[in-house]
Amino acid sequence: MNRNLQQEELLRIATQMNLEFRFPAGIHYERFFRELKETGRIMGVRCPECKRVLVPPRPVCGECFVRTGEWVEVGPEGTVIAYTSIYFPFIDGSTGKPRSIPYGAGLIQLDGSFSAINHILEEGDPGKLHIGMRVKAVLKEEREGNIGDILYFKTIEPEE
Amino acid sequence: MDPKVAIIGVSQTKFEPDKSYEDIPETVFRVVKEAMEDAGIDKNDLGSIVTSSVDLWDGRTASNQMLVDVVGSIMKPESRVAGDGLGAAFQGMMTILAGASEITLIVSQCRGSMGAHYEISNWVFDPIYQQPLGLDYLSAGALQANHYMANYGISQEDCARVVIKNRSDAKNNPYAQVKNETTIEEVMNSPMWAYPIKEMDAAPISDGACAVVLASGPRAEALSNRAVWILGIGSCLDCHYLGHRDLSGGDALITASNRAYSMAGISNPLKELDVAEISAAFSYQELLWTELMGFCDRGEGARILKEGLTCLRGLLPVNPSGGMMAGNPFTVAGLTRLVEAALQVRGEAGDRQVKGAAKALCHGTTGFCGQGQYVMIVGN
Amino acid sequence: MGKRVAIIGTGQTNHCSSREDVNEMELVYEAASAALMDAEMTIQEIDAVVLANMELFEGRALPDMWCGEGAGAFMKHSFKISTGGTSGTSGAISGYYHAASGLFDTVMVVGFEKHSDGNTAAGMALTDPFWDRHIAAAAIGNFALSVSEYMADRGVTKEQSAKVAVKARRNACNNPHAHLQMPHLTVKEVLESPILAYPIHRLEMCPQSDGACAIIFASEKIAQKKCPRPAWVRAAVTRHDHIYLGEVKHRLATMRSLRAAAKSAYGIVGIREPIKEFDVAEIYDPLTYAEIAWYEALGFCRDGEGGRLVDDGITQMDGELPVNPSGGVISTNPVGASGTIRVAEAALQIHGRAGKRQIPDVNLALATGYGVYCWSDVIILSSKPG
Repeated sequence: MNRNLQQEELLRIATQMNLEFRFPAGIHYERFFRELKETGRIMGVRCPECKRVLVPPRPVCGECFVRTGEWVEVGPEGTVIAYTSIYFPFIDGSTGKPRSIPYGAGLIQLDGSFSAINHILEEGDPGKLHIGMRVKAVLKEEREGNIGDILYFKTIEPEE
Repeated sequence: MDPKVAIIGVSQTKFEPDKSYEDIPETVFRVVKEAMEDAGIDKNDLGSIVTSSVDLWDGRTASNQMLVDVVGSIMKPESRVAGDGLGAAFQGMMTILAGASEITLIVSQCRGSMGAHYEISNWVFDPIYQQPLGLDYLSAGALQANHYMANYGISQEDCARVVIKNRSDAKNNPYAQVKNETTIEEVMNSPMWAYPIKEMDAAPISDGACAVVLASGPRAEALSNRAVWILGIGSCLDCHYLGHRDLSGGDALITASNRAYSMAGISNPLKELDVAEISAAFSYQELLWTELMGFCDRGEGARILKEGLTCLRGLLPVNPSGGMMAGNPFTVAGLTRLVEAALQVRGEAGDRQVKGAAKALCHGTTGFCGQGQYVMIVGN
Repeated sequence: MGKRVAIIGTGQTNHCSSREDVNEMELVYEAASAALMDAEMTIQEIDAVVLANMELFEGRALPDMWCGEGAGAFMKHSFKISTGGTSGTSGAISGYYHAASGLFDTVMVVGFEKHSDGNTAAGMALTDPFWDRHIAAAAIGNFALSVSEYMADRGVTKEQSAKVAVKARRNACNNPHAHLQMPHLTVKEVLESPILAYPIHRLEMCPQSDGACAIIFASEKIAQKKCPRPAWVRAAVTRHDHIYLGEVKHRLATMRSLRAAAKSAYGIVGIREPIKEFDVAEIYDPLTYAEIAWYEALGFCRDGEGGRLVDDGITQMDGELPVNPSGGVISTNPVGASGTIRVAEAALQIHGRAGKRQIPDVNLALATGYGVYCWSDVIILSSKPG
């Protein structure tokens, strides 16, 4: 295509997206966050077939394709099965703003749960993080009923 | 078509203004299980799954992620059509015709209550010429309505008759959201939204989901004695810019219908079809679409409605379910039309049953003013 | 399987970080026109069009409505497939199904993405509103988590990872369409590039590119007539899996969906020793560690030997099984097109039209797609219809 355009002539049209959404939590997220807020407990649900405890709780176990059953308390302690430290200021989708970097994040296998949860680690230095370390959920004093009620997971294993 | 493809299971939710009492996976699981039970299959029988949903309406990227657990797609092939559910049914048919699957599940869901439907629709318009004007599905529809009505001398009262028919028919539809009867006067007095479209001329925004199970010929015959066969399909995309199109015309729907009729061996739709379920988001669209599908001559849509041809007891009932006026969860609309068409052919449409229905048309559309059109003929 | 189908033409734009000179529809048009030219066809000869794209990254809804005409979809059967990173391969598979159905003789598939138009990071942040968004780590953060697991599982080293980046960016220099072409990149430079999310360095991750890629699928009679050496589709398999990261333990090491898709695809074609039987592979490598993990998942080597494959140069251009002569996703990543590009590049190799990146005597080629943590597509193309 023969385009004889100067760089300065090129036009860009700026638009901004401002859309509000109201997401239905459903009974599973609703109870999860209500428990977290009111009692500080982290809850999962057990699949009656494979017996695994799933977090976040949900209506159906995808593996078995059956409705989940009993509610089970899990954590607040757990084991780090994967970790990283974030050095890049990505946007926090729940606030629209970046977090302050660097900060630690990990997959934490909560005691009693099959699922690990993806959350912030208090320790941000990758040199001090390792797979298998033990951590514990630290909750906000004043909780609101969202995932941010868990501030982060702090290391409870003594360092070597 | 080789192999033949049939619908062996269908299910739909009640359409409601707000289903926030349950989360989306809950709604979808129920409708998937019902469709699979209706088909007499379980998850292991599924060869493929096709979902239909749109990220911006779901407020979430790759939004079909949230359905993975409940549509049976763990360790199975799943694909997602970002558009009308009838388009997903087309994709589903391809999986079977290509020999990749013998039983394919089609699912569509949308929650109108989560966001502002018309505001979101502004983002469908190209960012250069149309979006900056603040166009949305409503104002674009109004442009088309004015063009069509002026061209053929259609009145607002003519359009109001569509609303009256659909609301009245919806009384027979247990899934319908809006089913209170109304009068021309009431429709005419409802608030003006975008001239000439008034509040009651517009389909309600709803929450809902539906599911359809397709099967290849031999499997369908083995599994079901209520199989409804797909006799013809046609689809067509018009151009995007409103100013490039003939807004009273719409070659896309004419072409899509003709492709479907040709495959199904239909030359006179008004006589040969027993029932039609079509997707009309605004009252004027039902009139216009019936013309473009060849049920009558151009400009005659209002006449055949007034004369009762497209009413429940008429020669070719259009939207005995109440159509989108009965409930309109966006992308689900076209797939719901397929569900209704299948129920009609099975003779399972309850109080909205068209007697002796053996051949039905269902229709879906994507984009504004019917840019993308899908037509399917199903029958015994 | 349905009717026999082959790829008879491909076209791509020159991918880069920002195409200021075209809008998205024009970008699509470039790729579609290039494919038609490659196949020596006119748009009238195309029966249907499938588009593939991740709309939220560009801040759009239903972009196929606007851009469809750029792909020649006007008055044709057309829709858009949208499945995360696998959109491109999913779209290609849909195009293949359409042609294999017997209802359409020729189908054009166009994968496209114009990242520079939108805010990809914001788009990526829009995951589960209750669960994921607060981590604010996007795909890179999630990959980093999986990498920490993978390094512990398989002992893959940083140096091996960096070698993959070097291979990719140097291969890209033979590909006029590739985004990141770095002829002199070294392992040292890769490991000295800034860390985005530990331990992933910037140069180990894929970029975001503006680009489009088109593929033309044709039924047997058209393919025989039009193309001297059609790339026949012998297998096309998709598998999806869980989307909660915390439920897919040892994700990179296991990648259940890719293993299952590969097993199924290999079974259809009768492949027992992929590394010997494939002549080239274009695999979807969002980052270096993933490429190594995919070697194992695809059976190129035993589990734990992915690193050795890198060290021994087995997957270099002159190795036993060249992987990503195009430079891969690590060099070029317009998300909606990345999967389509894998299929197009594999087809080009069979067509014998891959220019400087051509591997000699390609008869069997592998293309894969990856997306949304655990979704996989595997496509096998051959010079023989089978």
